[in-house]
Amino acid sequence: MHTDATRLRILLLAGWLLVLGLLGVYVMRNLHVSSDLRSFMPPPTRADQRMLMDQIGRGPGSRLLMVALSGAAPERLARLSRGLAAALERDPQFSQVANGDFRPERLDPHLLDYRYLLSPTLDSHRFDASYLHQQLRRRLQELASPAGGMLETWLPRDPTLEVLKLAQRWSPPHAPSLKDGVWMDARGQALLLVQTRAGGFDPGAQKRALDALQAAFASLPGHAGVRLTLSGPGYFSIVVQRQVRQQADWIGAISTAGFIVLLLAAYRSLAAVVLTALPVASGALAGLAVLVGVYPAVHGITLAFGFTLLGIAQEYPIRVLSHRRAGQDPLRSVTALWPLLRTAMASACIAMFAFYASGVPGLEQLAVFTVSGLLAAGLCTRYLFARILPMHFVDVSQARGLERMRRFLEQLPRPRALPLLLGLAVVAALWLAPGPFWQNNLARLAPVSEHLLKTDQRLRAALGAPDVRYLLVLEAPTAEGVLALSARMRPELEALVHQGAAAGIELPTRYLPPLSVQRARQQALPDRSALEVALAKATAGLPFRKGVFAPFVAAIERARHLPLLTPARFEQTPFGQRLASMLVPRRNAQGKVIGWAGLATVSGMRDPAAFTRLAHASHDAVRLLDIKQASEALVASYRSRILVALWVALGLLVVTLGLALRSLRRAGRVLAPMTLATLLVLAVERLAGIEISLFHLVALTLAAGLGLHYALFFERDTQDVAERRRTLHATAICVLTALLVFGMLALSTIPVLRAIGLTVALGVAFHFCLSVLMASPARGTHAAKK
Amino acid sequence: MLLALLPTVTAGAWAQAPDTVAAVHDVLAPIARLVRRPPAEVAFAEARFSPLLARPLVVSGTLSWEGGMRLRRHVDTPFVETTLIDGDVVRMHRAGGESSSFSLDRAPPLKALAQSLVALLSGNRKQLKALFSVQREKRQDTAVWTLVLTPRSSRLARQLAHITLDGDRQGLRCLELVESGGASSIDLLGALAPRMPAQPTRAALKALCRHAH
Repeated sequence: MHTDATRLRILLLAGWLLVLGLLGVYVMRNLHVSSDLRSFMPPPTRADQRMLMDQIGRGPGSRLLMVALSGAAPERLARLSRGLAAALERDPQFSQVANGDFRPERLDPHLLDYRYLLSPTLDSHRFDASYLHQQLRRRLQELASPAGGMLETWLPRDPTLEVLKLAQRWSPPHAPSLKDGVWMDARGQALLLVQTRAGGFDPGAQKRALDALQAAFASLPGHAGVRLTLSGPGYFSIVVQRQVRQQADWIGAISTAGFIVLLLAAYRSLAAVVLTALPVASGALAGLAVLVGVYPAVHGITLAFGFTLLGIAQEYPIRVLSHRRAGQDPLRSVTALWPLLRTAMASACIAMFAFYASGVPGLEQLAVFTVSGLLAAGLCTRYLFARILPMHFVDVSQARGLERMRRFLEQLPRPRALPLLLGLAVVAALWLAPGPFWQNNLARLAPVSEHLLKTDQRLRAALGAPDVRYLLVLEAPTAEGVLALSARMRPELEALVHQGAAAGIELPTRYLPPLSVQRARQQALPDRSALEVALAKATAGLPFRKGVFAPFVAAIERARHLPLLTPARFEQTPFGQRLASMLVPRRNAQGKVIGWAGLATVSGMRDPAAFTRLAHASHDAVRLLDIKQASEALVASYRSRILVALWVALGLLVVTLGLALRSLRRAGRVLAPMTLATLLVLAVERLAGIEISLFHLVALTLAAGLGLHYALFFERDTQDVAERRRTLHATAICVLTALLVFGMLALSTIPVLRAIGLTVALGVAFHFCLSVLMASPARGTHAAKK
Repeated sequence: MLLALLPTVTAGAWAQAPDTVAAVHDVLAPIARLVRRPPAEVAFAEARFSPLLARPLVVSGTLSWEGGMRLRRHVDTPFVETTLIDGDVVRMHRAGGESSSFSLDRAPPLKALAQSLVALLSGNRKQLKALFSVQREKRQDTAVWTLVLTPRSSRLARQLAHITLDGDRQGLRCLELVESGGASSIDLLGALAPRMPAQPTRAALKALCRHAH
């Protein structure tokens, strides 16, 4: 009989593990994690918001990586720089690689024919006899100069050196000086500028690109001993992610060990402790499986937040273990406990649904994950966990000291005015607390080290790379219209640079002039016979061989009949990716293109106000986009959605608890300590000068979920002292484990981990204290009398 | 193209560096006589031959070494132009106020020439051998010598075929730079400079360089 029961338990456990395994395989096969932070932002409603969202993650500045090679002789560094550039150019993950080694012969020959339409020479000159003569005389002097050898191959096809003009135009405005053919800074480091195709705030894609870059470097011959330094938004996001993960991992390892020791001390059964992991694991896997089934991709942050919130479910098996009675089938204990657990679960799930209504894709997923996870964990606890527990166990109601603690807690004074006084104190604290209430700059929560920022500044200055923070936006109905607008605005913008408002501006027209300009230049090209006559006159008396400029005549003739270069055509050339990142379509909610925007990068911004004034003067034809400010505004609007969701959740909780407990008064007794404790956490953090961020809000939600359990269980009216001891035991274990896990996180040096840890730990402590102190005092005296 | 050295060599210098038996087998022996203490200056006349040109371009002026990697080429005929190589940078200034500068790396043959000249003038055989493989052409007349410098780096060899140095007991007479594309330049140095013909040919100049007197 006894062995039959054991066999049944083992079978059940095996079956459960098998189902978990199958779910795990299903999830592993189908889980596609999207790491794009933007999907965790509120859905943009207006076209310019949509563009901003796009630019936060995909703007030309955010995709830029700066690379420095150091620690060897310049020749070796130059060789490595060329090798790395060649390798990255072959890699489709990179849209642009520049190391100063501009070789016109590498230009697409087809694009080469466009030099007369792309270079500004024909705006001010004509290829007539006098201009050509003047140019050719100059070329002769140059041929006779020490630099003459550089001209030999180009002169016959390009005697006015348009290719050189383009090369100058297309190299960064403040490029570092060349040494051994590549960019090198004053410290003797070889510098490269790399643009990734993926957005800078898509850490997954950035990581793949960075790995590819590092692998390409590591496979270069002679790389040993040479240091590869990287900088840029994409690199930072990876570094920060790695730091956070590393610290979270080791803190997690320590607190897991502590958690197990605590449970072992409490329940004296290894089997029971190991089995408590199963309901939460089932919840996590079920949540994942539902997400995978419903959504094509799961957001990384959803998972991080979701696993945190699922910590609520860890209480379920702990409650079951603590509430077992000596001599009673665990199934019966669980049946007795079930109505309360069910209420707790339902409340948490209903509250979570408020997140679903927020309309933020990442929060929708968070709600789906948490609700299905909590339901699965709860049902597993109810129907499986209790059936596989070992029969032998210690009734915790007999645990030493527990009775003393219960008496102590129940005899604590419970001043009726306590909630009111605390409430007033909280309001006063929130009112008087120093500094801004909200922290909208999420980057502050996972800061990049001072050292990395210094390196970034140094490389950015050396390479003349654009600021990540500012963009000039030029809008027009068509891509061509954007080019025309940027050509029109250029003089005014250049005047601003001249006045020192910024070090440089890179407009899309730098790469591709508008069709009207190209057309004018094309029409200014002489026909074959006119050119031949002009050349004959121009070369009279000069020592050039006859017919040496035939390739030039042929090139002009080709250029005269070229179809004009449209943005779409230009984007297929090697420099096209650069233009593509500066010329982007604006789409409406249906994804239909409703206009185009030109994105001009600004380097060395000194006077944003001057640009804003220009924007006003131009009637917003050109606007300055402050990405930092704009993304903070997005975070703020996102946060207000969460706040609304939380208020709705509170309302739903009142209704749910009122229905479940069949009394609004009892619902109030449960919700009052929970709400007050949540506000108390906010007040304490604000008094400590902490600014509240999204992460604090999620942590507060988790703490409130746990606090709801404490309040529910303490509120339960039972006359059985042993059962009350069990309630206290269960709650104490839950509080201690939560304090351990989140208290450890609160010790972290990384603000985001500290934010979560501190908030939950404080929350759990306050929820516990207030649940005890605000439980009906009458009940306490009643029990004491007994 | 570029540069060179003091045309006048004191008897003392000659006496200090006699041809010894050992030195005959030393390919680089002649360069011992080229070592100078900066600043050093020499007149030059240069003819540039190019596949693009029906007749060569001729310019003349002075070349000077100011020590280290600082070389100056001043052209006074038929136009005025000064080129200064200063470390990694080439600065050019033309009469009429037009100035430009570019990285020496943009012109690898020029860089090689400048490096070889500085190595010669400072007697740095190690650097010379690191950059070039050096051959000495056999001559009946031991009074004149010819060294051919071929670049060791294949990257440089794509642009520069070789540099030829012609000299006699008193020092360098000619400097020839042959680019891989077929263009070349020959500089007549010092006392030879005024003997540049109005319509030079390569053959005539080579003959002038290799036969003393």
